[in-house]
Amino acid sequence: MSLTYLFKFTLINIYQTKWRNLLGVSGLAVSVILLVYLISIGNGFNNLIVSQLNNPTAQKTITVTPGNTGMLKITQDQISSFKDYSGVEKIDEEIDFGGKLSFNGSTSDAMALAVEPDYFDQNSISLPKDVTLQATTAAEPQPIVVSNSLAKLFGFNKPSNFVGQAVLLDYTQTKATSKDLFENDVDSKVIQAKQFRVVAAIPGTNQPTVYFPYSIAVADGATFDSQITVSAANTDVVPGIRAKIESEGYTTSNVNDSINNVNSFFSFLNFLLFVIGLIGIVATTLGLLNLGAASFNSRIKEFAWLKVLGMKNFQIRLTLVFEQAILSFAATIGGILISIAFGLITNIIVKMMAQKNGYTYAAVYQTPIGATVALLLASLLFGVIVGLISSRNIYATNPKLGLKHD
Amino acid sequence: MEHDIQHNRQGPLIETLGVTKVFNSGKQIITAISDISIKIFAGDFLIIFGSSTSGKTTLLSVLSGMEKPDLGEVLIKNEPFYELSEDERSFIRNKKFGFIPQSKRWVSHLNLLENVALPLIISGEKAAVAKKAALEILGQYGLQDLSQHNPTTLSNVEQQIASIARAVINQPWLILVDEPYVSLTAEAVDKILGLLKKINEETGCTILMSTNNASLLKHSNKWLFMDEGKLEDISSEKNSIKRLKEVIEIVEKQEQELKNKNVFDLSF
Repeated sequence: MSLTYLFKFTLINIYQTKWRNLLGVSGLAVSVILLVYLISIGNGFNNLIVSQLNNPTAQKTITVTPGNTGMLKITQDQISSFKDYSGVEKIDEEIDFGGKLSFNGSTSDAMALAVEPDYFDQNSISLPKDVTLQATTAAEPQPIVVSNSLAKLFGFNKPSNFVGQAVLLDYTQTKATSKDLFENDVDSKVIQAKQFRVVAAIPGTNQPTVYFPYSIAVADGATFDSQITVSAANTDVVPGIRAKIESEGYTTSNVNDSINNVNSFFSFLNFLLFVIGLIGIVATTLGLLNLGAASFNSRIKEFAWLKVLGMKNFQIRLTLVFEQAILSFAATIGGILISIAFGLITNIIVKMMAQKNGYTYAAVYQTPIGATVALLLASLLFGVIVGLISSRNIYATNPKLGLKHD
Repeated sequence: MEHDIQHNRQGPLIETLGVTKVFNSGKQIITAISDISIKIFAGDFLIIFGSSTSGKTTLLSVLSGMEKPDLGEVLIKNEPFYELSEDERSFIRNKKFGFIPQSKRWVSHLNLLENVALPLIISGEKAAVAKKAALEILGQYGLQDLSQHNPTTLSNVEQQIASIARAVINQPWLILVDEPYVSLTAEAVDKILGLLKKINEETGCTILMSTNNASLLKHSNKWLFMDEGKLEDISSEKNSIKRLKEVIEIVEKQEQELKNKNVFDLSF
């Protein structure tokens, strides 16, 4: 008997017993639906977070902080030395203070970050067009950027309405930011009520935060940076620069650290899902094995008869292997397609919710192609194993059974 | 993998030498056939007669390479059958043997045409060629219009005729017929036996038929009587006549039972 006919022989049998087969493999299909859906959702979130973090500028940017000892400072001399490192293009400085913002007699605590004009170019948050955080001449109120969360605290439910308002900022210099205070062992000094004008309200943080020009903090006596942002010429030199800076005792970070953490978390999550899914599939396969054995026993006289007619054991076995492999493969394909259909529905719902709440839409269901192909191949393998195991008794099947009266 | 057994009319087609087959049922050992030595020649129409537990089906299984004897030897064309591998015996069974089982045995998911063509397909013939041959044979037996039907939907006699078509499709040396009258009327049995005799006479194909129905003995003049796994000695004239008298008594008794049954059926 040719392989082609053997295959056709199997397909006809599958078709003739389609309802029994459908019920038999539905458990496997359900396991596959769950597994693919969960892994795809995990994959979608992983890609979503990574795409949020990842941009070409961020990849080339190294954030440097003094570490936790309190003794190591980021000084101008140190910054000059960093600038001499091969591959360093520029360094942006930042000093962080605790502060209070006052508007119309109301006051709120806020993080006060003294940043350089192109600070926002390094971040995912961008300022509106034509807005800069450049210090102006002394006669004019200085520009300040506020977080939406802070604007809301002052009653601006539409944060953009806060733009143009005059505000007062008090902020506190400490030993960590001022050489004078550090050398004289003075804990802090409050810089009183400086007048600013809000030039932008931006999203991005739930913590009330203001951003004001770096040069103002320096003029007020700040000498030590809280952190600096080193821009490298390209991503290839980033590891080398980080290593050199860290060798000076500083702590560095790069968006790749976060991406690696996210990937690592989702890899673990996907592994867990995979194991859970695999347990489900193995349990279903055991069920299929039972079904295969039952199917074999119910057709034993037919197989015995085929042996009477001269069909060889391996040919009969092959039909059962084909049968189980086809069923398992079909159930997996069915499961994947149903999962994708559910995924599309999920994405549509997420899109509708995102549009309703004013967020940018991103697909949360993304089927990982590699895992899907691996699952299909695994299903074939499972089918072959089930077929081989459930048909193992063909050698012991006496063809005489095929001659006996029912 | 054709095994080199040449068909010629010289010498026995199949010969058994002291064949014994024993089954272990767990609690006891049952001797299904014991010390059977027979010779079956090409062109024979041989009837094996015996009760349902006499070992006829076991003998057919042993002769067709399906059940290896515990003792003795089976020769096909003077070659030891059981020295061949199982696959080689399957090959010979497919090519040289035809089977008509007592139960209507069909591959349920294939139609009649495919079932009849199956022995040819198994032997490696292309499905289209095998089906063409099957359709031709079904035509010879008047069943071509039913070729696309599921064979289990056919009448008992149609199924039995189709079984014959399937048995002859590979032009076998030998057709093994196991109790062909089950579920058939006397007329249908006569029709089936007539067909088998015609095949035997026209093609020279050997027919080996087992039965416990004594009325079928009239269809041949070569019989083997089996009882409790042994061949009865009918070699001497005295034993033969004695056995035939017994058989005639059995036939008369069976015919009377049949008449009674018909009367009952009519009154019902």
